[in-house]
Amino acid sequence: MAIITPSSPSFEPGTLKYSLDWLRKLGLKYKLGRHTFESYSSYAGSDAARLEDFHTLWADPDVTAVLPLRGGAGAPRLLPKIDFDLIAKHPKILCGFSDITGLLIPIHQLTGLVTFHGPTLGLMYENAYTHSYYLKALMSTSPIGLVGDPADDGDAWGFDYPPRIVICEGKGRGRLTGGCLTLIRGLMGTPYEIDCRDKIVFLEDVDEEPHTIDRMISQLLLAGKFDQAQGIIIGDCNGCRPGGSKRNVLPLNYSLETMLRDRLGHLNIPVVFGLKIGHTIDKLTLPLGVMASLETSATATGVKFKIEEAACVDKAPGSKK
Amino acid sequence: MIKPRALKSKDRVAIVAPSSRPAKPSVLARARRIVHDMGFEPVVGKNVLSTRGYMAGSDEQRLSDFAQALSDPSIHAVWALTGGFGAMHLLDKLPYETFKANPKIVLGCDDFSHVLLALHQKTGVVTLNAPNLDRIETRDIFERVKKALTTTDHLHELVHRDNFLDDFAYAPVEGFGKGKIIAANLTALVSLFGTPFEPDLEGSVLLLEDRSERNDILDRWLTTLYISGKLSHVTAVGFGQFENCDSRGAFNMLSFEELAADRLCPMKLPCCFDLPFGQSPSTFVVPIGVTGVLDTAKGKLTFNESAWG
Repeated sequence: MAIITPSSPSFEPGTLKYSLDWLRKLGLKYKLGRHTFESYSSYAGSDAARLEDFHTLWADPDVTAVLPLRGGAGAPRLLPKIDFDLIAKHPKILCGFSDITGLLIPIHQLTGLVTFHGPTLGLMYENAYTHSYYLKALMSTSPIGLVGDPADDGDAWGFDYPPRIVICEGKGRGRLTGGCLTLIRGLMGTPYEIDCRDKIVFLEDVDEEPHTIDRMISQLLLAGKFDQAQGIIIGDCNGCRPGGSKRNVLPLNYSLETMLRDRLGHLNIPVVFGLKIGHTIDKLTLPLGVMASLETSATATGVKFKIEEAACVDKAPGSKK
Repeated sequence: MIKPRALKSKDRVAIVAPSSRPAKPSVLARARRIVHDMGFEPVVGKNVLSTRGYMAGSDEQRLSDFAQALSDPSIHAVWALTGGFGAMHLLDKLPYETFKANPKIVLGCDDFSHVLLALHQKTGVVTLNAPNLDRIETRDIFERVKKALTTTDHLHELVHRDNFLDDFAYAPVEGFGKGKIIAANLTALVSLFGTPFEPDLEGSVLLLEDRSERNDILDRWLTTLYISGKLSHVTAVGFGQFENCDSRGAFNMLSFEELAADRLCPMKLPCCFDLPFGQSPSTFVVPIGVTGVLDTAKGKLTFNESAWG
């Protein structure tokens, strides 16, 4: 495992140690990027330093997976100088979310490599649901199959927000793509813009106002991205409620669900809201590029999201071992 | 490029709210009075005080007011009352052909920046970046906008004025940029990327402003501009007012000046900061689509032609 910080740094040695203990527990060996502990504004070192770690460890033949320690901000700054040929020549696992979306989509699209939208290294052991999907996606050569919900923890007083709200009924099948909406919006109009043609597209964000999510959804709508898609999965979007951002509050806000119904309710593809993706403690690991299907109907058990194809193979293509 | 005609006394000016609702009715009453005192006849959209979520009414209500104002030949200018969010919902439904055939002055800023950029991109008509009616709060800005709406001369140049030093501008890359002026709210500009309304930045002098954002979020959107490759075709960048934009208490976060300059300096792209361009009453007005020259060393933007016919 190669541990890198292409976005923001983690300055808590205890957290890092805990993450490393988890890797050992899984029987995995690791290396750290040389610049892991550097800092530049809110980024983990200069663009050049973060790039150097990324390229060095990606080229390293001993490394099977490149695991960003955390997201934050800064990964998209690296894109113009990333060596996509080097990545294509040495296929490896890359797993993260949030700001790491800025690497997952460009790398998947420009090299064809399956990349993984799942926990960053520091979060992969957060709970049983998260951990089980992490292992299913990264340490298995079988398809993940039907995606389940987190188990009820039995707390009678717990707040049971419906985990899956159907915005549009329908059936769709296609390869998976998606990630953090803020990052996807930031790639629009660039050579790394998300390709939604015939895809099941998943989107999520955290602590954004409904109107900010609306802005990003509107951009994708105007760009025709949803006309091309086969299905849309909106994540739980933790904290995306009026006042949630604590910075851009507009008066007369209304809820994310209302906004999604207004903006996406007319689509002729399945649209579901509330899956545990990205910025929630329960977190799926979703491979970009594999076949999946989505079926939504308004009945109680009417959402079926199935990942039909394995994301990993036993041997890297071209490997002599 | 198509230039609308300058306003004359008694012309009818529509007050519209295609984004959010004004904070209170007095904002609307005040806006009417401002338009009236400039010598024009205010015409208020039917739905400006309607409400739906964060917007001034449903998409249909906002579109009906705004499209009516753009199409009605008896209306000579259309001025946004306030910003917020919502204009994007209307972009694919605006009467572009009618507007192009009967162009008129359209002005505002903030969320209305989406509209100014889209109208210019789709029709070639010059649009005007100026404060929304709810920010006309000083005699200076009142007179500046009134003059700008009625003159057939070149609009007033923009010069950075330091509070104390007479002749100072912060220009990480000194130089000149000449070309078509695109003045934009940074968030709005990036929101149009990848859509049919994305402005053509080829050969442009690009002016950017924003309000109430954290430095790293501004850096996100500047990064989009950078990785799109479009900055290489821009002749100069003038950063304007970034009202209430800061690090929000994160002590180790660099300034937007530094985060922007670390990409623009290696590109040797002429740029300067603190041009009097933004949403506040201290801003100057900027026509989108006319040619001009930005001298970054002096922090000065001059216009090579008039904005109106």
